[in-house]
Amino acid sequence: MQKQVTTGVTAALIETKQFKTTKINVSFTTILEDKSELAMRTLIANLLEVSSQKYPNQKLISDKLAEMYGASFGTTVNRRGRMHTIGFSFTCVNDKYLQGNQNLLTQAAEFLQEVIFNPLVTSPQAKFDLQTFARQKENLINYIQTIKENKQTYASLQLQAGYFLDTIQYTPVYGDVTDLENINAKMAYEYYQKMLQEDTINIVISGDLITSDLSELLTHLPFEARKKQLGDIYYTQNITNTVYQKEEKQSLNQSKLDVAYHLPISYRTENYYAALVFNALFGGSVLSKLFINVREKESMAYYASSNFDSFRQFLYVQTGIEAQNKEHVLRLIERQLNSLISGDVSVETFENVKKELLTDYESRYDSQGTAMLQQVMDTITQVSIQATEWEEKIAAVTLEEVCNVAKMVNLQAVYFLNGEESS
Amino acid sequence: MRVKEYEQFGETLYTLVLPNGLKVNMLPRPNFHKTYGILTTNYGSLDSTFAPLDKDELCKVPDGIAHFLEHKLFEKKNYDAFDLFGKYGADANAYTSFTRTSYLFSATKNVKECLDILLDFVQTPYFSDETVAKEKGIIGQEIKMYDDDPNWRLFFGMLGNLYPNTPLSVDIAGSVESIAQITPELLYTCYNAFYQPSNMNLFIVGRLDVEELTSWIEKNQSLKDFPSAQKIQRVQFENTLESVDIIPYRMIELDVQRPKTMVGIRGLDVVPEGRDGLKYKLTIDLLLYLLYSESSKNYLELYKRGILDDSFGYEFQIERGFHFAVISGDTKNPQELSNEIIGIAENAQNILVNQQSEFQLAQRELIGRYITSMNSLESIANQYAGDLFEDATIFDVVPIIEKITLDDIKKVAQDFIRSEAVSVYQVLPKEDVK
Repeated sequence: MQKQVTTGVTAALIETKQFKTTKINVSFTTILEDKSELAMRTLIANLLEVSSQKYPNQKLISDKLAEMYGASFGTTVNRRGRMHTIGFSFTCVNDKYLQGNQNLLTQAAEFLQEVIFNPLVTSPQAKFDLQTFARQKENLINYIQTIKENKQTYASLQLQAGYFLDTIQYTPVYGDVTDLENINAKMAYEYYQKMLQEDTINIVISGDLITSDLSELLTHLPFEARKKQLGDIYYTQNITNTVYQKEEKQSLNQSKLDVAYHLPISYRTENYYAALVFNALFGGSVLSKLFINVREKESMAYYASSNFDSFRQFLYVQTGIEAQNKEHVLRLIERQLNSLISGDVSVETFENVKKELLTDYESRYDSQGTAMLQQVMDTITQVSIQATEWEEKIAAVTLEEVCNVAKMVNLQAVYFLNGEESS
Repeated sequence: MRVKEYEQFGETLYTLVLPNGLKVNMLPRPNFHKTYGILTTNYGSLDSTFAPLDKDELCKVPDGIAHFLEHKLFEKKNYDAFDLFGKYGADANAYTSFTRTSYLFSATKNVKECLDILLDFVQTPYFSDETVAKEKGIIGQEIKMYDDDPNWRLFFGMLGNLYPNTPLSVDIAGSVESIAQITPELLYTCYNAFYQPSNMNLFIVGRLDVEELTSWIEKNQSLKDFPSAQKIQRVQFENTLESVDIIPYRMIELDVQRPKTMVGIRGLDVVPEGRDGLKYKLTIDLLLYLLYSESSKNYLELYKRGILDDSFGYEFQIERGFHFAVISGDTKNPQELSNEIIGIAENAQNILVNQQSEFQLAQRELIGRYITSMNSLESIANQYAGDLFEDATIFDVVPIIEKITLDDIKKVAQDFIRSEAVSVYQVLPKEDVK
């Protein structure tokens, strides 16, 4: 059941007896206008996760969650296309598995109201509590710096920095340190107020529940009507004629070769389902060309995979290899793409990859969280389709359509993290 | 067939042992779309010295061979098991730990076919010079990938302190040098010794019909010939250890942004057998929660002082033959953080005084976490530890937690936390010489 609470605020109830928990997501979504918002929103998400008026520090939050039988609560940040979402996620056990009447759902609603609407502020200056603010800011800066230690993530971020033309898109989702350093407690509080008033709000609750449970939750989440609607959520950019190439040296055991392509197909539009099948055949599955040829046949890598981001028309390949094999692996990747352009796929592999996609799709409904995220995505994109329809669309994809998708793929960037540092 | 009802959670577990010794657990979850099956052998990276089947003399095999074997079982003379699962749209995978190797699939259709593929590919070994040589390149890259991960280095650095010169201090995948020595003959030797059905178990959970499933499994197994079950002779890991081995401190300089420090506590006490072992584990979990979680007495003060941040965490590992705890974090003051962690451990008895209400919160926390983990088919099956805790499943855990008292925690703290069992390992940024 889904309803419009007020303009720009939706609420959905997913009634299911499949899980032993009740899960609540409240998401704040906006279209990013400036890259500094990335750092701002991450910092605000972190602040709201660890403090509120009633629970001014994480010990008190942690104690309250323990009291609610190991309830979990956290905030997340996520960018999809031009959208950015701060999510409040809460999970607790359904009362019927606990002794006595715990009434956890009411406690959950009160808790969420507290952490969302009553942040820890210093009045009357109207800014976030200075000590908490300074600590969270410093911690976030430290966190951003340690991302460099994960070489797969690092290489992927460097590839994106080279591929994307828009500053918002080429900045990592958590923002950059310079922007973060410029934020003070007052600015953050003002942004929080704006977010509370203007962001699109999607509330979802899932579990063994009844309609009145959603009504009760909503009385604790008094969002006002939004003035603005979300604009265009998809990010697109034009093809550039020169391929961006970058090589960086570090002293490592393994080198990383990442490749970016432009693929002008958007979420659930024409060719989208063919693009899903294409990606599974290219590098998205253990049956894929990259897995079978780069890993299994040539023994070049432990991982060699592709991903397709249909909100940004962005296709990318990630591999971990020996530095000396770079040119060879680059040629292998190109060869796999060409073999898809020429339709060199057995009927059996083609059908098996589709079956695998269908299994993945059905399996989503065995995860309470994933099913809830899909619900929000359906609401925001306004393209909701039934499971059977999704299956039919995948089944209907032909090899010719996949070849056509492969032809639309355009090489745009190559990033190489060379592990053999010359000393 | 044994039927066990867990009324509190509305779950029923069906268990049977086949004539060949294979133990099968089935847990129906009719509301789910998937069926998840996992076949596990009680054999991991620690089991590197054992007597081959039909022999009495012990042999020592190269480090990383259990994991190598896991990779190689998928590939046969004319096909790959991934392709067979692919026919039915099923996902398949495998993993190796210190004491276990597991093969798994998940499917939404054609469960019978997938089950047959799982049993058949694991029970029909094929190793050749050519396929073994090829795998060395792939696993070599897997090892190198982990070698570049500073948190992995921190963890194995600590195991090297707690259990020096034992297989426990070596990466489960071995090293590029050790896997170079692996041959098809050695793989068959390991396989024949440890992949006897009597050393294995199959756990299936999700959408399933118990009777139908039982008949499929029985049929599959009855069509195969197995040598009669033999008792496995392996050097028990705990018998190779001496407490004096522990190295109190080491560090390594790597290309990291911030120092990392880890404190390890090796269990020198004897873990009780069977279900009491599970109670022991849960008591330590509660102890560590009271000492080091965000709800603990000291956490907030250290957080506010900037000695620790959200990277701080702890874990307790217990498997066949060993148990240890590690507590770690990224910090600008590695020395101070490890001193604080050790101080809390040594002061545990004082910290635990008058903590009755905190203890009750910790109990609630743990109960809730276990009930939440019942949402996941993978958690239910993967957390089953076979013989280790006398076939306990996660449905057995909650009543045990409810019976634990604060006194139990004080007692376990005394037994487990010994100053001679404590060690520190640090990963520090390279000195800038630019």
